[in-house]
This record gives sequence, C-alpha cells and structure tokens, in this order.
Amino acid sequence: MRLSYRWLLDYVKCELSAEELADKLTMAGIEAEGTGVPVEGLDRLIVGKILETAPHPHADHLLLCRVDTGGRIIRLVSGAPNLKAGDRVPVALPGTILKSGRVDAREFRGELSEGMLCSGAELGTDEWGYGDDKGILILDRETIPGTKLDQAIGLDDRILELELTPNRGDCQAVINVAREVKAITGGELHLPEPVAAEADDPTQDYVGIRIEAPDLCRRYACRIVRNIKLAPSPSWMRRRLLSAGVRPINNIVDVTNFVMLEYGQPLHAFDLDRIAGSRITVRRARSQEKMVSLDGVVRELDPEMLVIADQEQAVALAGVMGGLASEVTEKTRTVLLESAWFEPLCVRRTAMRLGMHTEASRRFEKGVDLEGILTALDRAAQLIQQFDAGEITAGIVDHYARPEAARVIRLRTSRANKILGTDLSREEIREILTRLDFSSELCSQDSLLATVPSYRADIFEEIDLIEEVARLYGYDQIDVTFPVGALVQNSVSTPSVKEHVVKAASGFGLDEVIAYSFIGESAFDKLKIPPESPLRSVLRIRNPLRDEQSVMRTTLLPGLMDAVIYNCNRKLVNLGMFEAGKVFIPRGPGQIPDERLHLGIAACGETEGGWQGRGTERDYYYVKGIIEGIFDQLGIKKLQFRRLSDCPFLHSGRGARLLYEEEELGYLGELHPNVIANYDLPLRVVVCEVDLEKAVSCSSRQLLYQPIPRFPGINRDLALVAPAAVPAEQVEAIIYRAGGDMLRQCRLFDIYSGDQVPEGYRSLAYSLFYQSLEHTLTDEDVAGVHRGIVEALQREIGVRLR
Amino acid sequence: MEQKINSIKESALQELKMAGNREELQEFRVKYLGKKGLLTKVLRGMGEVPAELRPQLGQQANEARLLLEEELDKRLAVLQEKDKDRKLAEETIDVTLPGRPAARGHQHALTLVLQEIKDIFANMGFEVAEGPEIEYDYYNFEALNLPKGHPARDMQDSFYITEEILLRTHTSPVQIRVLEKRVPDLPVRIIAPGRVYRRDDDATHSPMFHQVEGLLVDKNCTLGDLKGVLLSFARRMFGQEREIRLRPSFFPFTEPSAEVDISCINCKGEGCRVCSGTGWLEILGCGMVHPKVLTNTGYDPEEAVGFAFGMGVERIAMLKYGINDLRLFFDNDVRFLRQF
Repeated sequence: MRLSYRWLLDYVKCELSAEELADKLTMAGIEAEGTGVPVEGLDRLIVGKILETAPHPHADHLLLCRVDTGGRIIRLVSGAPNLKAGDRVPVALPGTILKSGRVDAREFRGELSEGMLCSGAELGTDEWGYGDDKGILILDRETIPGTKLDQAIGLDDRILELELTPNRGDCQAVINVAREVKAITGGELHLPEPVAAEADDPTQDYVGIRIEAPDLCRRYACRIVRNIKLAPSPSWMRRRLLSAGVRPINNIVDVTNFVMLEYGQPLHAFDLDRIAGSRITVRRARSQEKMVSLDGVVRELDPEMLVIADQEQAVALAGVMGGLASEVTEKTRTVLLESAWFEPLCVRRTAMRLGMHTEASRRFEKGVDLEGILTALDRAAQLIQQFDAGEITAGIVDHYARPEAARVIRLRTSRANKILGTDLSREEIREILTRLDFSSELCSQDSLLATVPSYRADIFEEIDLIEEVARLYGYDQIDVTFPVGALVQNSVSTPSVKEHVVKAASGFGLDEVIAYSFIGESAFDKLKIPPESPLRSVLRIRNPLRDEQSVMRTTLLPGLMDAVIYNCNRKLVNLGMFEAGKVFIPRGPGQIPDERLHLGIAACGETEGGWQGRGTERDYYYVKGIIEGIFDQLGIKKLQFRRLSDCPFLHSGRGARLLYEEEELGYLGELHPNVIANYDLPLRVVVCEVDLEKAVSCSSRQLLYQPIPRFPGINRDLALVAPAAVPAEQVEAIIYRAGGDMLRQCRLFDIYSGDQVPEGYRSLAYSLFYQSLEHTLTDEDVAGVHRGIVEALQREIGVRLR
Repeated sequence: MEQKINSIKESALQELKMAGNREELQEFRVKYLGKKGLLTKVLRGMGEVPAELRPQLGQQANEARLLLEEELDKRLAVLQEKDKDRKLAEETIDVTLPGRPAARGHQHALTLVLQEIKDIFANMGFEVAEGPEIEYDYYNFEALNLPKGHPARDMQDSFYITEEILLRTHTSPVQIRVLEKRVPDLPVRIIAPGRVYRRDDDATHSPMFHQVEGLLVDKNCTLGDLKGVLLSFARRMFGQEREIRLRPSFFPFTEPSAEVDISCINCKGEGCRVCSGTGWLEILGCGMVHPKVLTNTGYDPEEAVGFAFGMGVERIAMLKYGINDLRLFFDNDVRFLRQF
C-alpha cells in the first residue's frame, strides 16, 4: 500500500524522517520502505523567474529569455508560445537528467541556451494538476526563484510503501497507521473531528433500507446529500489521492475515496434518483442474475454473492464495485452515501470469482470497523460541506441489528514471559497495551483484562495480546538463550537411502540433476509409451501453469530426457546424469498418492579422455557397472539382468529388466532409435530407473565381515567356446555351482568372436581363483574341481574348451 | 719396510680418488687387496722381518689394509649413489602434464546445502522427518490454523489435484503429522526438508522449490531460545561474524511470528547491491507455535510450548554460493552442475 508521509503527519507528530520511520514501523511488524517520491526527479529542477523575452533573431518559432534562477541570471532559448516576463517556470540546468535525457548547454541557431524549461507533461506533474503538454509549466507568482521544484509545488513528499501482513487489514487506513506511529514513537495524535451541519429534512424520508441477509451484512448505514454540485476537488485532496495511487474524478467520488483511505471504511455513492422506489435491499444475488458493473462489464452473479438492490435489480456488488446504472454523473442531483459492514469471506469469494480486486474489496475482506461506520459517513459529510458540493439531510439511517460488544481478553504476565523468555512486569505490559489504545484493568496479581479497540479485528485471544506486547517491546530486546531439556532419543540423524544413493552415484562419476515433479503427458508420447501403460495412470493438476507441468510424474525419465536435451542443444553431449526423487502413483479416489523414491540415470557420449587415451564409452555396460556399484553400497550384491525386448522406449536387443531375488526393481537399456529420433538427439542414450524403496526393502541383511583366508590360492584361466545365444550369466552360474566352495572368484576377462571361432559361437575367457580356508591348495586339488567345471559346462549347455 | 707400507698406502689412496666407476674399483681391489695384491704381498713378506719388529709392522700393515678397505667401501657407496641418480634422471617425467581424469560426479548444489543444514541442526539435536509432497488440505492448511477462505491462503497460491488434495505449499504440514504421531511425548525436535509447490513462475519464483521446516516443542521453550537456535544456525552456515535480526511478521500457525534477516554476507551490514542497501538479508520465517496447532494435534498449550521455522533452500544456496538466477537450479546445465 502506498502512503504519503506528509498525509500521515497530518494526524501524528513525528520528528523522524520518512526512512527512519519506515525502519521503526518495519521493526514493529508493519513492513515499510520510505524511499519513494510522488514524482521522480523534481528535486533536480529549480524555479526560475523570466526577466524578459525577445524573439530569436534567426528563428520565428523560438524565444530568447533571460531567467533569474535565484541569484544567477541565465540565458535560455525556448520554443514555447506561452512565456512572458514575470512568469515562474521550472528550469533544468545543464547536467540535469530528465526522463528524455541529459540537459546540456547548447546553441539553437546561433544562440546559447544554458538549460531547458519544461512542461508539466515532460516532468510528469500534469497528472497532479501541474501543467499539461501544451506549454511550459507556469507556477504561482509568489514562488521564489531558486527554490527546488518539488518544494515549490508541494510535492516534496515521501511515499511510504507498506507491505501489510494479512492480519493487519486495519492499517489500510492512514489514521490507523498514525495510531501505530503514536504507539511506537509516542508522538501526539490529532485526528479529525467529523461534524457537519445538517438540513432539516430527515434522511429517512428519502430512503428505506432492508437487510435480507443479516449474516452477510451486519450493519448498513447511509446519508443523503442533495443539491449536488459536481466539481473537481481542491488540489490538496487530489494530491492526497494521487499519492495513494487513486485517480481523482469529482468532488463526491473523491470524498468517498479519501475517507476510505483515511478511515479504512469504503463508502459508495449512488445516484438516488436512479434507485428504483428509493428503497435499498441488501440481499443475496439470484442465480443467473446479471449486473453491469461500473467498468461497463456485464457480470453474471450467483446466490453466494451479496448485492445492493433497488426494487427492480441489483445496483451494486456489495463491497466490491458499484453498478453502472446508479453511477453518479453530471446529471445527479441527490446522492446516497453508503457505509456498511459486509462479511469478509463473502466479499473475498465474490472478488475472486469475478476477478475484481478493488480498493473496497481489499478492505472489506479483512473486516472493517463496525464501530467506525458512522464516523466515516460524518467525515464524508463534513468534507462535502467544506467543498460546498451539496447539502446534508438530517441524521443517518443506520441498520445495526446486533451491536458487537467490545472484546475483553485476559492476559497473564507469567504466560507472556513464559512464551517470550522475558521478565516483564504487569505494569510494563499494561503500559504497552495502553500505547496501543487497549484499555485495561488489573484483575489479579498476575493478570489483567484488556479491551480490544474495535478496529483491531485481528485480536481474539491471549496469544494475540502477547504478540502485541512482543512487537512493541521489540524483538531485538529479547535476550538470546538456548533451549534446555532432554535430547530426543536417536536424535543423531542417520543418512537416508537417498543420501547414500546420491553420494554413491556422484562418486561413480554421475552428475545429480533436479527436475520438476510435474511433467506433460506429451512426454509419454515422445517415449512411445502406449495408452494402456500403468505409467500413464497419473495424478492430474487441476490448475496447472502449462501443459508441460500438468501431471505428477510416474517416472523420472522425462525429466532426465529434458536435462539431456538441454545440454545436447548446447553441444554438451558427454553426459552422465542421475536424479533421486519421488514419483507419484495414484491410489484410490480421495486418497493422496503413493510416493515412491526412484533413482533414474541417463548417460551418453563418453567419459573424459586425456592424452593417454580416450575416455570410456557411456554404453549399456557403463551404466550397468554403476548401478551394480550403487546397489553394492546398499548391500545388494547379486542383481540379475533379464533380457527385456518389448519395452516401448528401449532398444529391443539392448534392454534389461533389473531383478533381485525375483523381485522386479526397474529397467536398464539403450533408448529405442525411434525415441532418439522423437527427441531429435544426436547420439545414443542409455537410461535406467529403479524403485529404491523396493530395493531397500530387499536389502535387510546386515553387513558381516568375511575372514581373510590365511592360505595362498591358485589362479587358473578357462577359455571356452559357447553358442552366442547362451547368456554369460548362465555360464557363470554353472561355473560357480560346479566350482563349489573352493572357487572363490570367477572373472570374465575377454570375449572374442571371429577367426578360429565357429559362426554362431563366441569365445569367453574366465580367470578362476581357487582358495581354501583350511589349507594350502595343491595342483591336484584344483585340477579335479577345474575338470568338473569343464565337464558340467559341456554336459549342460554344450560349452567346450577352446 | 715401514716406508714401503706407507708409500703403498699413499699411492692407493691417491688412486682411489681417481676411480670413476665400479670396474676401476674392482681393479683397485685386485691390485692392492687381492690375493696377489701389493699390500697382501707385504704382509706375506713379514717372515723376512726381524722378529722384534714384526708386531709393530704387522699392525701397521693391517691398519693400512683396514683403511683402504674402508675407503674403498666409501668410494663404492658414492659411485652407487651416482648410478642411481643417473637412473632417476633418465626416468624424469613432465609433471605438468594433465593427470588421468578421475570419474568425478557432482551432487546438486541444493543437495549440498541441504546436507549442511541437516548437519547443523543434527548437532543441535534435531531429527530429520519427512512427509508427503501431495497433501490433504487439512494438513497443509486447516490444521495449521488456515481455515478455508482465510486471506492468508492467498499468500500461497496452490496447485490442486482435487478440492481436498493439493501439492503442499510448504513443509509445515510435517509439523502436524509429527505432532499427531508423537502426542503426548515431549520433547519433539525435528527438521523436515523437502520439495514444495506454489503456483508462481517468474524470475524470482519457481513453481517447485525446497524448504526446510524446523519444530521444537517442549515443556519450556521461549522466543529467546528460538533466537538462540537461529543465531547459531546463521553463524555456522554463513560465518561466525553474522548477526541476526527478527522482524515481527505474521503466519497463521505461529504467534508471535517473525521474519529473520542475517547481516549481509557481502557488505557486512553497511548496505550494498546484494542487500538492496539495507545491510540485511531475509533468510527465513519463524515464530512460537500457535496454541491452535498444539490443540489440533492433541497437545495442551498450557503444558507444551514450542517454536517453528521454515526456510527456502534455494535462497540459502543462492546466498551461500553467490548464485543470482533461480532458474539455474532446475535447468540442469552441466556447466552449472559440475561447479559443485
């Protein structure tokens, strides 16, 4: 909210500068900045007095002027037609920066101009009632040459920018901010005393009020102003309105806006002659009822909205905006001024539904002061009278069915000190509350009863009072202490699965990415995922920002692909990336989803090479090695990889299912060429995704130390020729089984096909390591077992020695 | 005889100095100390010396032999050392050539900062708790004293799945879940990190970001204690010379509430571009747990008091690493990722 510093000073004495005050307000909970000005740059110009003018010798449309700038006389060339000797004008001396650029001394057709004269439009003061775009701004005759322009025209103000928290709706009123300033600084308060002389005819003869929805409108009051004389408001009021960002219209409308800004009570002015039957009904809108609002838009209403209606139709949306049909115009003779309390939630809902957040709705939806409704009407009447804009009829018509008693709250000193960690006395607390205009009485040794001012709609219970005490006492006055008390058992935090996996994966050379949890369904199309796939069963966001972020991900793959593309588009094609994050699997309707921690990997190109050779290709086996390494760290030793040829987004010959003890954990494989083409990628990409929660539930076994054998072992190589279709895993399984306890390790060290190996076969070379825990092995010991392995291979899968 | 021994010794020592390699030393050994060596001959010829002179001459000759052997060994050691040096010189490499690239991967900047935050609070006795990212309205708002229609709901524009289910807008619902589970046990000291979502996307807002929530509930606990915990967090995270400032603010689930600033890490409080001239940087929101939150979870606010705080991890990371663009965290540009 914008607030004029000078306006504030009308109500409270304050020696602080705008910036100092803003700082004090901020530290008391009203976040404020005090550096704005009404019109930027006016302090850079000064007032000049034109001493004489003469025609330019070489140009018909230019004028030479001698100008007194407060001591120094300068020569200026101007193109403006409206200048004469004696005029006071704004002067920009050389070096001044204007919106249009820097002013320099320069020659116009051979005549030097030591500066520039400005129009209201050039300065931006025209909106404030100073000048226009037609000629140089002419100031009052009394203005003293050399004065700074902002001072000369009363715009040497500061604009406080308030960032109000939702609970402090009351501070959307200059007077209530002034009350805060008083509470904080102790400065004296002087508020207006609204009184107006009334004519003899009673207001109730003019209008009847009926409240049909007392739950939504607890108070409705009005005054009548007759013999309206519409005119522009005086400049001081226009200036106040502009400082708050409100455009002046005419004296009647301006008064309603001014009082709203001043007291926080929105007022509305109706043309009484256009209220059918001169009767106001406050009721719920009928379904499909329509009304044209002041801005000319046809609004469709619903019964949850509150309207002000005459005998025929809705004439205003209560608390939000008036209707066009009853607008105050030049023809208006009699005005009905409305001041009311509308239910905050209802106003808020209406404003939201119609997308009309107005100055009025912003105040009603925070709850206006039920006890301030008449004061606001009186103040408006006073100003209207002061401006001679109309005559006030006798009395206020006021419907207030159930007046609200002031809230009285008990506050315990001990409780305040227990929460704040302070040692305040009952008297200190009482003094703070008094500064905030809470009246209070002592009710026991420890506690007092505080009465809440009617405009503080945010104070309901003891803790609210404690907060008031704390913010006025000053958070910075509260001593720093440390919590004492027992530690929580098991408080030492053990690294989570996610932390383990992230450390392992980055340790193996992958870079961690973080992708959005929401994706677009087009990602499924790109990945060729068929309509019936469970991956397509997603949670949909009702109000997404865009299609690409409209469903919760069921797989990490789309996010990883986005990261791959982002980098490939920037010619960064050597990538190894992973994400450990949640996917969201829908459960029943009305239930939150199953959130499962997944690990996803995408890799392409090769690892960094050097002068000793190229890096490693990031192919299927690269990712497989890493995933095995990560699972090894999680305590899962024997992952199985089964051929997966029908995954829609994987290469049919280069994909695998990941299993652990027959439990499926995920997949690993190269992307299908069609998918690569869909993404328009320049190279092959290997991807992998596993359900870490499933994986961890499998790995409950605790790590146990295995004794280191004391006896030396023996190495034997085994070169085999196997049918190409026999998976290596199968060969290895037979070797281990036939090798028994004595075989400690079997490691594949070479694969070969080509010369000397028959078509449809491949050669596999293993290095076998035999060792015993009991004794040193002899060649004979090993020879028997080794022969057994060869025989088993031959017998079971037709694999021969090479 | 005596002269002969001395002259052999002198010339031998002279010769030893000249020997430049092991072969020459071998020759020297044969020439003087071998079976037919000069000194050996002298000793053999001792029989011709008168008996009374023998002991003295014998001793002389032996001493000469020992001396030569000793000098020979010394010389040998020197030459061996020279040989090694030569070998090493031949094996010289260019130590400035690049090393073999190690397969180094990188944790995300947010992961690193989060880890640091967790470690700092773990040291102060806080456990890590987690909650779902997709939440019921009850946990995200209602139980946190944000009933339907509450104006403060506007502060957090939400993504909805259904009327009652939404993407959590903060990590505060974890407070409710933990308190519900622990009631009536005290104390409760947790931090809850995780992703949160708000319907906002511009240069300074991301529709998804990360928060860390903190909660302490105990029999006794004050706003002063909250200041203490946050001050020590700020100092461990941003340096021992940091100061903090609490500004009164408003959150429906804490009261009194505050926004917390740290003294600017760039200008040390004097005012600069980083802190927009104020000398302070806002890092988190906090307050004393609202009595309604305690009541909603089954605690008696007269028996249990607490404080809570919440911070944006991106914000902390940006300050910590001098990152000036929020988008960098989610673009996943490897030139960014590989800096951490």
